[in-house]
Amino acid sequence: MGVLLGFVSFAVFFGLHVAIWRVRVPARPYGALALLWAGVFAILLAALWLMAMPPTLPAALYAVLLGGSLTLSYLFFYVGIKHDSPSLAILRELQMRGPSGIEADDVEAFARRRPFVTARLEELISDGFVRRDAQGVLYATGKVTAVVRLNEAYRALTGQGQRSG
Amino acid sequence: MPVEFAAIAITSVGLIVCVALHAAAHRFMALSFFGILALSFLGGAAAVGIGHLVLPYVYTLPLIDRALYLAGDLALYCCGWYVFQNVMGGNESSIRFRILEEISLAGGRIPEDVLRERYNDVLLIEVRLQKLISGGQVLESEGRYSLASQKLALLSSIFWLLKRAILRTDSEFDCAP
Repeated sequence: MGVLLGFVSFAVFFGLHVAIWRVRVPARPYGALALLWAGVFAILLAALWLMAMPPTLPAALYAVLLGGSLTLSYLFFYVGIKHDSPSLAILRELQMRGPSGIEADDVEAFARRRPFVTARLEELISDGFVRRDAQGVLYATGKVTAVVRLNEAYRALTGQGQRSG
Repeated sequence: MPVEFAAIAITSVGLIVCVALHAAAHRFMALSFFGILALSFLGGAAAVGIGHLVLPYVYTLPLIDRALYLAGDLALYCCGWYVFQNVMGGNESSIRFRILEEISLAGGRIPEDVLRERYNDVLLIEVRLQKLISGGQVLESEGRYSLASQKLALLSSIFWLLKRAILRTDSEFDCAP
C-alpha cells in the first residue's frame, strides 16, 4: 500500500503539473509544485479513508517518504527544464548549425545572447538569496549559507579541486 | 519492526554506502568524474539489492510485495542519490552555487564588478565549451566548433522537448509564451 500510494501520488501530481503549467506557469513554481504534491497526497489519503481502506501508519510514512522524495528530485530536475543549461545550450546551437558548426568568433555573441550568469544573479537577488546595495555591492543574505558551507566542507574533506561553475 | 521501516533502513544503508564510496573515490582513487559517479551509484544500489535478498528471510512477504518494496526502495535510493549529487556536486556545474561561493569566499560581500571580472557570461560559455572539447563532445577544427557527441545531442533534444511540452518555450531567453 505504501509503495503504491507513493508512486500514484507522484504520477497524479506530475499529470496535473503538466496540465496546469501548459495553461499558466505560477509565479513561484517551486513552492507551487511542492504544494501541488502535498494536496494530491492529502486527497488520495482522504479517498482511501472514505473507501474504508486506510493505510497503516508505517505504510503512510513510507508513502510520504517515497512520494516526497520523488517530488523533491523532480524539483531539482525542474530547474533543468525551467532554466537552460549552458552546456546543453551550446550543444543545441551546434546541433542546429549542422556539420559546419560555429566559428570561434561567434562564441562571444552566443554568450551575449544567453547571459546565464546575469540571469542567475538577478534570480538570486529576486529570490532573496543575495542583496545588492546602492553602490553595487552584493551580499549573501544567509538563506543558503549553510548549504554552501556544507558543500565546501565536503569538497575539502574529499580533496576535490577548485570550483568550476 | 514493520517491513516499511526495514525497507527504509535498507535504502538508508545504500545511501551511506554510496556517499562513503563517493568520498573515498575522490580522496583515494584516480577515477574520472563519470567513473566516480558510476562507482558510488552502483555500489549503493548493490547494497540495496543485497538488503532485498536478505529481506525475505526476515519477513514473510508475497512475491508481489517483495517486488513492490524493491521498486520503491530503488526509487527512493535513486532520489537520494540525485539530491546528493545536486547538493554536493552543486558547484561543479551550478551557476547560482558558483556566485554564492564567490560571495562567501569574499567574506559575505563582493562588489558586482569584481564578481563579473571573476565570473561572467562569456567566461562561463568559454569554460563550458572547453569542458565539452576536452570531453570529446565538441570538435575544434580550424577555428570552428562542431558537434561530436550524438548522445549528448539526444540529451539536449530531450530537455528541449520537455521544455516545449511543459513550458511551451524553446529557451529561457526567448520571449515568454
